Amino acid sequence: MIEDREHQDDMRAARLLASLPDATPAAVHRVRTRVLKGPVTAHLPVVRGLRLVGVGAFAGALAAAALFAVRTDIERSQIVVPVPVAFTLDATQGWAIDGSIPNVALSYTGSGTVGGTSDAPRITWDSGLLNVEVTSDKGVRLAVTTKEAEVRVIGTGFSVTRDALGTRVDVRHGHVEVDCGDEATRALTAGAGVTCLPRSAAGLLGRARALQAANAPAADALEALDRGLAVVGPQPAVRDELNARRVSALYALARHGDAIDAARAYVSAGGGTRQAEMVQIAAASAQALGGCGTAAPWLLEAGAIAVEACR
Amino acid sequence: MDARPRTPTLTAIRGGSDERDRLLDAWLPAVVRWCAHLGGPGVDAEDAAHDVFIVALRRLDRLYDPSQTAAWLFGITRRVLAQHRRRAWVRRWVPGLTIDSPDPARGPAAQMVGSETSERVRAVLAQLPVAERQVLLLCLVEERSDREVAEMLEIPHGTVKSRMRRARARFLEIAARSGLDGEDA
Repeated sequence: MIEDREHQDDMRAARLLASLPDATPAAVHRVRTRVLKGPVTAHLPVVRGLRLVGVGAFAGALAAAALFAVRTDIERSQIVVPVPVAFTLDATQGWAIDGSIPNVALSYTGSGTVGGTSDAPRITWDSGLLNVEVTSDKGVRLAVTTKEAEVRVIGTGFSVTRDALGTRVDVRHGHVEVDCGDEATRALTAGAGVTCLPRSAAGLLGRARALQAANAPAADALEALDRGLAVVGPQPAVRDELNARRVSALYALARHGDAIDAARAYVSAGGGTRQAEMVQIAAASAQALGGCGTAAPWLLEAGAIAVEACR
Repeated sequence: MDARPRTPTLTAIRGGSDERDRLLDAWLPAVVRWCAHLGGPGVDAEDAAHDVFIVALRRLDRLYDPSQTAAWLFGITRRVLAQHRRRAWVRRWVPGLTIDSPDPARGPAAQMVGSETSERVRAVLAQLPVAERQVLLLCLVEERSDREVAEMLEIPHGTVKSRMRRARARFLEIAARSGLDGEDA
């Protein structure tokens, strides 16, 4: 409802703003001609004369302020068009200030790319560990982005680790702002850290896999799997694996009733590649709840040998 | 209305006068538009756009990634416009100071053919803070994504959304008071 209202307001505002005229070709041509003339400053405001009428020191101070304010910092030199630079970070490199990004030192094990401007460099970090030191008071506005996070910094040291679990940001000194792609931006000070979780279903599946492989608490894996199922699109393989791992996580948490329900849903949906495993987990959960009798239907589905094993 | 430049700029900043011409072709209309809509009272959009490109061409070596051209140029435009606003303020408020200003008839604001509605919309827009004008222009006129606008304004993604909500509400409120409702545009 609120989104509908916002959309309607957007449309109303956009309709009004659409009535604003665009720049005319004549205006664009005039500016272009002036720029191409080279060191053009003839049209910049210059002080033609100061008529300090009936004023004393106060007016003099104001005039001085005005002179300062209208001073242009545009040089009258020839225009030079140098070649811009973009480069790739890859493999391993020690601490270095090599001029690639002025006032920024990097050490890393992984890969990414550098773009943006020297005042506002932007590192797109794909995977691995990236350590960053930004010289303070130099006005460098560095941003590091991963799929999960955006870190903004002015003069500080921090590290960004991107792996299957997500993106981890740890601040050594200074402070940074971290945007995990949700509404809230987190301000971190020295010693603090945050992990931005993956947002895609495949990314969340990767996180769950990594957690389960590391024997992390099953509840953490279950949370990642539930998040993944909430955002999964028409990707049968990802959905299938998320559901299967969810059954496994529920069993690990001894939530046997939920595990049986989830396994039943998986099996009845059909087409899954882990049908047999789901039946076995459901049988084990049913046995834990009520013994072999309760597990019998699942055991029968799993095969006669399983029934015998239960007895 | 998608008012973004359509000419690719990736090769346009590789140096050389031809390439520089292409950069101008690609971005001049957008920069003039930004200056006209964001400049405010007393700011000559053509002068400001000219200054933007003088600065941009001089500092082109600081643009590492051509895909960031929009954000980079917009940042320069914001700073140049701030400078021009200060000059306009000086012209208005410092007594006895005469400044050689361009002929107002040459400004794109005067050159753009403005209907009565567009003039009223322009007046409404002028009543908004600069930061809110920026998000309205980039989001609704140029139809840029929130993330793109966040990069251009160098603010967090969430701030773009909240600023956009405020700007839209204020814009529509002032427009309604001025007898504009978005249906008659």
